[in-house]
Amino acid sequence: MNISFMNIHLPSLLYTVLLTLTLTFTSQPALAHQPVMDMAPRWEDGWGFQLRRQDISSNVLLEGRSKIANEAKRSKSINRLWLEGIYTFKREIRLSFKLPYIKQSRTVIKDVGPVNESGTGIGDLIIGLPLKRYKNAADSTGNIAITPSIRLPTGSTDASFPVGDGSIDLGLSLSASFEQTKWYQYYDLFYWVNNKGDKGIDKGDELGLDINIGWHPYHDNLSNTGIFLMLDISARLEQAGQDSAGATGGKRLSAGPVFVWYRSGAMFRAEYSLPLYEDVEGMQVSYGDEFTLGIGFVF
Amino acid sequence: MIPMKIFIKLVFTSTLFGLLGINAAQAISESNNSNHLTIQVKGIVCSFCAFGVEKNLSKLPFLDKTQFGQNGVLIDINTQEITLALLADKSVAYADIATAITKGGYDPVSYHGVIEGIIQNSDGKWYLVDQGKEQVYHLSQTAELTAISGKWVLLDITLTPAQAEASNAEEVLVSEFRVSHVYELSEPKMQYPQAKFRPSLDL
Repeated sequence: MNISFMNIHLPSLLYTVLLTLTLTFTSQPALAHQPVMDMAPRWEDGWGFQLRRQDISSNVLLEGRSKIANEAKRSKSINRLWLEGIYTFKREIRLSFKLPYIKQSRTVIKDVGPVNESGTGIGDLIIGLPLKRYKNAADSTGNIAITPSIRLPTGSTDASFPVGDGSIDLGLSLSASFEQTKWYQYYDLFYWVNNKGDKGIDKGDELGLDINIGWHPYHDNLSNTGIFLMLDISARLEQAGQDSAGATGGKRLSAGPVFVWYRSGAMFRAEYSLPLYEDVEGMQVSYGDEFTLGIGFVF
Repeated sequence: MIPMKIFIKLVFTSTLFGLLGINAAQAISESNNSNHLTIQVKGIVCSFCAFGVEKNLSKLPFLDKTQFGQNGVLIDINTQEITLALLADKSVAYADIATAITKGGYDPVSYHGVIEGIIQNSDGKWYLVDQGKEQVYHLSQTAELTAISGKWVLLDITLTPAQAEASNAEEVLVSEFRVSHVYELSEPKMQYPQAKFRPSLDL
């Protein structure tokens, strides 16, 4: 059986898979597309870094898909400052790292009632090896990439709201991006194997899909200055698990606008994302709204 | 942890400095387009990615860095063309240009430029000798060349990527050319008459 969707005929199985991916979710932060990490540097011996400040907060309590009364005033507030770097050996081979500094707090329910928990410090280090294949056409460019990653337990699990999970995790990403003078598309399908960590932290594996659709309304050739406006769509599916506060896992679809300004090798990025759909395992505080500011440089 | 307010200030300040720089760069105009080399490049539509190509090209010693924002390189992502402002008295290393673009992540398609010099024949082969840059351009035989042998001319030339890579600082391979002007004796021609290059000995 074939299903017709916008004149595209897809086998029903493929349609089901795509629909499932679109409705996926997680309780982990999105590592959405970043210009410094994908678009540049694509030149040999190029390198770059960026700082991203990520703020996530919520006081909405969910049970499954339903919003329920939050009488105990459960909440969470997570601030992460990411230092991200990349080195390009040659066009096809890069090495990247992402290291967060985290300051976070939450109110959870324990046997004695509501308890405030917090954690501060360096989180878990992610190292990736993007392997890309480029295709330059007359008026467009694109690449496909496979990126094996490893997440190392550099973050402590000592705090009441741990900044690390104590496990070595493995990830694999398949991505593709295409760009014309005015339009940009990026698709990233990834999977993280989350191993059992310390102190009862045992989060489930995570499947994610990030999509960026970008418009390039302004560019000045002489100063290499311009603006991108993008729509970011992030879908996550995380298997049921647990941490020190209770159940983890669920599904989430979130979206929001992204603004990127660049000038030569410098880039500024601001993005806002809010959950459009959530279905959590058990009872959890919603993922919440996410606001990110970033500056990056390539050399 | 950097407080959000301070982080926003840092980002805002950096952005403001960048924005202020736009006008200064834009104020530098293209003062002269008679000594430019234009390169058609596949896929150079990504402006942020093009920074690497611009960085590589701007290191080449034969560019006029008073043009195009003080580095002699202009990348037009709308036409997928790179224009280089060339110094009049420096030879053009086409192979180095090709390497700079390729290592920058892109693929050149063709090179287009204007050269000036004397049409000469040596052992049945035709050349344009650019005494200003001390370079010799290899030309394919045409009836028109016989008619203008020994004269000063302007040629519009095209190089393929393979020819650019095979060229060196003294000899350049040309795939196509068109005679755009033949100088009269009274017209000023050589900008560098003291050039010591002697093509008949070097060929």
